[in-house]
Amino acid sequence: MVRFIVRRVLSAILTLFVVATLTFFLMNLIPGGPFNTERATKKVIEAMEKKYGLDKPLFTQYVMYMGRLVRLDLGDSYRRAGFSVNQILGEKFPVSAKLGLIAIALAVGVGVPAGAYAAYRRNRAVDRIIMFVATLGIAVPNFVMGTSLLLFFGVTLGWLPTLGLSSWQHYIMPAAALSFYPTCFIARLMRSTMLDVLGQDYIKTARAKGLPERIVIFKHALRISIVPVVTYLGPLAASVLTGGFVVERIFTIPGMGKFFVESIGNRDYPLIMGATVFLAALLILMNLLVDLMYGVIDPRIKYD
Amino acid sequence: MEKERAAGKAPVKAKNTNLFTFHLSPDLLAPATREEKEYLVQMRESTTYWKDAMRRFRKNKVALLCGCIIVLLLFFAWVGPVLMPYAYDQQVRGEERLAPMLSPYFHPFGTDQLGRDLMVRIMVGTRISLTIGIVSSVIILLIGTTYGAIAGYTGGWVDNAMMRVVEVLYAVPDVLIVILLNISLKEPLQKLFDSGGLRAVSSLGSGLLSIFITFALLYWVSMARIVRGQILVLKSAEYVTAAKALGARNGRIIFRHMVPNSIGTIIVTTMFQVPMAIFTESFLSFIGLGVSAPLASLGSLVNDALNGFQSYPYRLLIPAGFIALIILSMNQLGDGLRDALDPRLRE
Repeated sequence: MVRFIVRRVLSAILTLFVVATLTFFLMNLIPGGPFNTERATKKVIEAMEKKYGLDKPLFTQYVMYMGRLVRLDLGDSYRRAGFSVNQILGEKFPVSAKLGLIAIALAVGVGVPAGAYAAYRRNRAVDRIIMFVATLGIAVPNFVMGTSLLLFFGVTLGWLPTLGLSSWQHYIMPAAALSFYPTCFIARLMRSTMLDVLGQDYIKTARAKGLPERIVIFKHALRISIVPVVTYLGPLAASVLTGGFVVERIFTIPGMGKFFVESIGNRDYPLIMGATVFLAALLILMNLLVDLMYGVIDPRIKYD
Repeated sequence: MEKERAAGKAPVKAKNTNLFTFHLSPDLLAPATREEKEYLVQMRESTTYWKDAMRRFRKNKVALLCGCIIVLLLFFAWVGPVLMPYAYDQQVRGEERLAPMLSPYFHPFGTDQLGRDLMVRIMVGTRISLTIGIVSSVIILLIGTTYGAIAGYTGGWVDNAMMRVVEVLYAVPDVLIVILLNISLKEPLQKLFDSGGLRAVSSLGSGLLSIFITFALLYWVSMARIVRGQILVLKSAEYVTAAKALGARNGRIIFRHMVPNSIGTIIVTTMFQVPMAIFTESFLSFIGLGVSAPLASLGSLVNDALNGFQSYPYRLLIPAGFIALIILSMNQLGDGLRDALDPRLRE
């Protein structure tokens, strides 16, 4: 167990290192520097580049950056002078995180029961309807969902506010758009595992012993069926994150997504690096937690 | 057929046979005719793997329907623009902002604010989406299969090292890297094209090409994993041992014996890459990366429509519907192929 954790943590750190390195060199591939604005003279550009150490060879820059990264210092933004990357992330991230968490909760909270119920009522009308919606749902990209919701509930019916996040009603559409795809995915996943589990011998044994159906389903079947959903939490976090890029754009929400795309356009190197490394660390941590959670949920899983 | 046989429609052996007599009629000893011989041979036509798969696939009505939709979409995307009286970037003066169907001019899906016919633009967008889906799946297929096959077949420390690379790439948050890669590749490629390099592929445009490269670099990983798993299973198969004993070289064993025997899984995995790639491309185009104007992809059409969608909702809904239709039918076709080619994978 301890060996497993140590191995997983080491591999997570390695992945993070790869991401940081990849990002650093990819970013420098983008032509044009951060200070090449129309008004800047050559002298100004040189002075700025010297100030931030951009005149040094690329590899030296890389080593310097990694050194700071280890100390969790992501540097200062080039474009928003006076702000450190940590400050900017601290300002934008909570906005996205709140929306993302709501979406994740919604996806799991709706997807799991829907899938489990569909499996329990296999081939009945309920099952057919749930599966029909779920199959359609995994074909609809979240920006299509987001814009359609915006159009229908925001404009045509005028029920929900379309801009920003100032009240709880504002969260309804973005959260729905963000969680629709994962909800459908989880429902399908849940149904197929649950069907598999319900056909297992120990379920028959449990029923034969005369256990109430409630206990058979909730204690014996559901607990094991949830393992693949837990596995999906890692990709789910990633999908909500990227979905955030799109949904924040549609509903004009000032979060991470919008600012990440902008920072690339601005060649704001420390900001690009900082945001990528931060988000990557988040996702890698999420995967790590998921791996460690298996054993808690399914006692049959042994770590090697 | 079977009923006819049971009813005794087979050639009658001898007339007026009396079972209780010892008198043998010479008819009974006559050599059997060809017809009689054929009747005795209980042979069905042997089914091959492909025939069997076809039979299963044909039963699947949903998958067949989706296959037809995809064929129609292919026609729509490649033949359609030829038949339309406009080009995708042609701006017709005086026919701006027309609603679908209502106009006196021929614009079934209406026009945008520059007077470009939306239907042609959607045709071209569908073409780009399908091209990206298919080409990147083929790239993923080639890289993933080769990598997975080599890792699985060689085994030992080589396998270990190769799979460690896969593990790390698998854990890399793909979309962040896709965005970065896409941006950083686009301009250098454009420069390269402008200076006349790589003429063979420059007609694709830097946006499209950078998407291909991005997908090729990142998305072969799951393919490699699946192929490796298959190869590991097949490694202990008897025909592989036989091939080895006969002195076949490794390359031959891998590509003549092992890969063809896992072809079902490989095809199914590739099929599922197509909608994935289309999904990612439309996402990239939507956030303003991907193909560059005046070329249109379905994602960029939705993105363009976002400004002023309150007055022109159809500009947004039509391309959005097309994306959903393509992905839905690709998913269903993939499901159908999986059930047909690789029944073990069935849910």
